[in-house]
Amino acid sequence: MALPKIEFKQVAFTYQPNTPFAVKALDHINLEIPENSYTAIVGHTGSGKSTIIQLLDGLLLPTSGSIRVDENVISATSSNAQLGRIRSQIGIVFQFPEAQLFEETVLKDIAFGPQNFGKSEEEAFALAREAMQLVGLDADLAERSPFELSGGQMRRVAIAGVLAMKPSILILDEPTAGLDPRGQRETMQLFERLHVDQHVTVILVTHQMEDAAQYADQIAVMNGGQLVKVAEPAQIFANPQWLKDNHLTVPKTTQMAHELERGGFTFNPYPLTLEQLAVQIKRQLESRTQ
Amino acid sequence: MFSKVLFGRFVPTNSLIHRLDPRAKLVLSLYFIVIIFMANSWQTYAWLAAFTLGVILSTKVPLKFFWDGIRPLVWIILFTVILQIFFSSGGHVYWAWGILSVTQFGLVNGVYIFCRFLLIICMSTVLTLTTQPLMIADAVEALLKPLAKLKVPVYELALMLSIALRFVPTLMDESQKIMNAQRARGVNFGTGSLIKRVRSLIPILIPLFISAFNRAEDLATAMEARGYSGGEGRSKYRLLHWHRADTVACVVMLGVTLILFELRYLA
Repeated sequence: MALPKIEFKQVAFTYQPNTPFAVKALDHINLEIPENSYTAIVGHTGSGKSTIIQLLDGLLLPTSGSIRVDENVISATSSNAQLGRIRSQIGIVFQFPEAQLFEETVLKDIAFGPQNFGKSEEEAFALAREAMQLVGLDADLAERSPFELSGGQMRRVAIAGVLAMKPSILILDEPTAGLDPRGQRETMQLFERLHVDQHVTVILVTHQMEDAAQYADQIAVMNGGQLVKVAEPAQIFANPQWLKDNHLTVPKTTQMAHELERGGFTFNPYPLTLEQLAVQIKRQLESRTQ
Repeated sequence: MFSKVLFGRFVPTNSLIHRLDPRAKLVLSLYFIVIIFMANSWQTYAWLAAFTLGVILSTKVPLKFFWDGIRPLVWIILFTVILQIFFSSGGHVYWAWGILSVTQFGLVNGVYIFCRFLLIICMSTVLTLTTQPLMIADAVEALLKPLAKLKVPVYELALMLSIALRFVPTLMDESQKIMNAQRARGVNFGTGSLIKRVRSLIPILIPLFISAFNRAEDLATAMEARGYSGGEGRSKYRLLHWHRADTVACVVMLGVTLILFELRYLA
């Protein structure tokens, strides 16, 4: 089997070490993320989720342990050049990414990333136009100021700015926070398309268990700076008490299934999407009437 | 980035000094800075240094942590001192080159200035280390109150000060977030030529200003929505109380001054 794309080895991170403010954010993290996978990282606020993604991009360096991304390794002593190579492969959509916009025009802002990673102006603009199309922004918005746009459009510009870098790994930190339900659905479907069509490895940090259940093929559960469990969604959501102990909610479909179990239904595997739930209910109802 | 610098940060160790009235601490720190300029010999500096060390120890902040926190500032002082040494004249000349010279007076002055700056920084660090920023703002307001009779908008000034202080951590957080986003998009801060470094600040400053203005507007709306209409007749949530310990602190400071003058005229 090929090496996993990303590998955390005994990673620990302490904020402001050796001071009275020292806070241990992560401890003994061992995590493998295979190529082309869709991993969701879930956990309570303060469980260390956002520290993990900052470590993965070399924005923070681990206090001990190492992280391998392809052939590059991030450790406490990594050089800027190494980190640069890693950053050119990873795109991060931060929480409320529209806060990163600063250029005079939409096109220039989207082309900012590619230009920083060594693309010429023409190449970068071409990538930017491509990314605009990908996120569903009208081509005639290219010369507008990003600050004249609506909130939803600004979010798209910011996401396009990340996608224009053509990352092979895409990290999403609560990418749908503050969007209306339709915007949420469209955004998540956009990332799903990238994952399926362009084989982008996706890491989704989220509070929305529905999204984790629907899109991810593995879920990593964090609690108090520790990685508690890494498993397939169906396994993670099978035990409601365990989820409660780890401060997690249950996706609505799974919750429904748990309720139905009390009424004599059985589910195996646990349904994660509305469709799976409907199919299983239908099957069981049919076998009852027969 | 600035995580090491201690100046301006509050460390809740709940010592005796922490519990003093912020008005007392503010006035006494300013007073101490004034009397530092009364020191004129090594005995007087030694006395003030010993007192400062005692105060630092009584804050219960680990000494090494305190020192690590002011060390970055010491380099700035050393730079000033070196200029002072090279450009002042008088007394025995040890070394000269063009307009630069190292003289006896220059050296002595340099050492004194170093001590002075160091003591000032230590004492002001103790103030901010042991007093929450909002308490300092309250103290400023209380101390400026008499000026209200001269139609100085004391309440508005204090409100501006406390809002400014309140938003320092928020804006620090915000700038850290924006920096992370731009670094993830390939900006490399702190490398390349000076022009390149300055240019790399634009992608931080513009989003930071925009978010600061948005925040200001939100705050104004939120205050108006809750019926804010200026300081007229407003009661205070945090009240300052003068305790016996505060009086004792003032007396101690008076004692320090007396001994200082004693040493000054003895020498």
